[in-house]
Amino acid sequence: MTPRAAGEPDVGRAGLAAVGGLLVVWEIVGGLNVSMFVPPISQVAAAWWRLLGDGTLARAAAGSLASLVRGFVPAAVLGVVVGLAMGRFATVRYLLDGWVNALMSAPLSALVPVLIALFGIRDTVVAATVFMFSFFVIVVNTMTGVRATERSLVDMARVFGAGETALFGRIYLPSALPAVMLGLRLGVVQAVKGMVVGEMLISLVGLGERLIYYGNTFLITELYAVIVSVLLIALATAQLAQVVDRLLVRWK
Amino acid sequence: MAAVSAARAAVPIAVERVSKRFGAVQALVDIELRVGAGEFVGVIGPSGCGKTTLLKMIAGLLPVDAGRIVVGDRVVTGPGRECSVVFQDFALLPWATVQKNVEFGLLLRGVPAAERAQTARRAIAKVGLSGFEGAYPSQLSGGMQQRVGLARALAVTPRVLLMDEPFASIDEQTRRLFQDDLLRLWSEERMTVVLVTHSMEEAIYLADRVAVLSPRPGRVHEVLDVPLPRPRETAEVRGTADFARLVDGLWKILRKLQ
Repeated sequence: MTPRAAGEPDVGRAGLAAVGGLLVVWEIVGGLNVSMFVPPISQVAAAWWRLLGDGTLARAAAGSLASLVRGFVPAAVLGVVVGLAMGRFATVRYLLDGWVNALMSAPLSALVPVLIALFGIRDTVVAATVFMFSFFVIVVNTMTGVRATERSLVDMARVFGAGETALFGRIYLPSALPAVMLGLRLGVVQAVKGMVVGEMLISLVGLGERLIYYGNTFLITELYAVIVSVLLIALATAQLAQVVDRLLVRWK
Repeated sequence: MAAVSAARAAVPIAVERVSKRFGAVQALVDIELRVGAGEFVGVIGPSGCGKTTLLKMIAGLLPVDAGRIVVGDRVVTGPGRECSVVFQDFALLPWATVQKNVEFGLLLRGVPAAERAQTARRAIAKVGLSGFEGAYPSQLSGGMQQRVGLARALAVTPRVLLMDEPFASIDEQTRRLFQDDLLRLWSEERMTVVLVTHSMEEAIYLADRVAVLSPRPGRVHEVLDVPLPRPRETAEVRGTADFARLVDGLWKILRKLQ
């Protein structure tokens, strides 16, 4: 994983254009009445507006976002700490590398039943799922960033008398920062996935519960309205992460 | 002139029967090299002869396997306050401005902020970069980046300046101007300089003596005197017959080593 390259196109703007194009096609196809599973987007928008008005979405989203924060914040803090330790200390890396790699590529949804057994059917399961989904990508990116630190920068700092603490704080940490931020950006995307997966599997709280409910009762326009909400949350968090990234890594 | 800027005097370097091995590879064997206080010595040799390794050991960045290195009156066991290093790849902090980069050595050595800023500004002026204090390294050309590297090295008023192929990735025209500036700064600051290079012209033009290393394992093959008059930066030394003859003599030694 490398930090964002200069001259990369504005992902946000390109994404909006693509979404806009899809919406037009969707409205046309929906208007042709092909299937009950493709309602016109205008009806979805109306349903979304209604659910927003009666507080359904706000209630569900508030629950979801609470779980997102409760899972992602510990994942970010712990992920960065573990990643820094793995990047800097070979012993820690040898101990944890296998686990991190195995769990990063594992289908983690399979572990949600274990979490349910552990925590019971509660929103803690959702937070734990969020944590699990986002933790490993943050660890791996942070570790990679630390390990990619230029050898000559370390030599340079040592020439001027830097000890371990100064090396860590003034060379390794700032060197790794772009990769750490990339890890957090990828992590927050994973976190939203974890949030939805967790809520759908326990089908008790949040937007995930609404998805299952409207899906099972064939309220297709409402179902799409919730899906749109989930997408908006995913986009918003990704954008927020990008803004934070740009503020912290201005020198790139 | 020297007394004004250099509060600290240049010190000699003694490399005594130093050997270094990396795993199965014997990098350097019985290296013997003495550099007088204030002397400018070039180190040249084919790629892989261990010249950068030697420089890193003098800087205290790599331990010696056998023998010892003495800088001033200190046996080198790690980085010391006498030495500054200029790196081939500049080793600038990409996230810091020119000003902060030049302050970095002073910061690590615990110099207070106000004094740090002032000393750094002076060093930046010395290398001709005044006005670029707020620029980031990525906004500068290679030659300018290396000037920042030199300013950072000079800011701590080193007694010994170690340079690892500092001009290797700089274009020829910029390099010549930079070499002249280096000679001028050296004559003002009175530092002992060890310069590792793979350019024969550069070694002859800059150094009082040139140590030629032989490859695999690296040994000091010969130490060549460079009896060209100083200051060389104001005379047209590069165009003289003496200069050409010395470069040719160095080439004849190096050709046999390939």
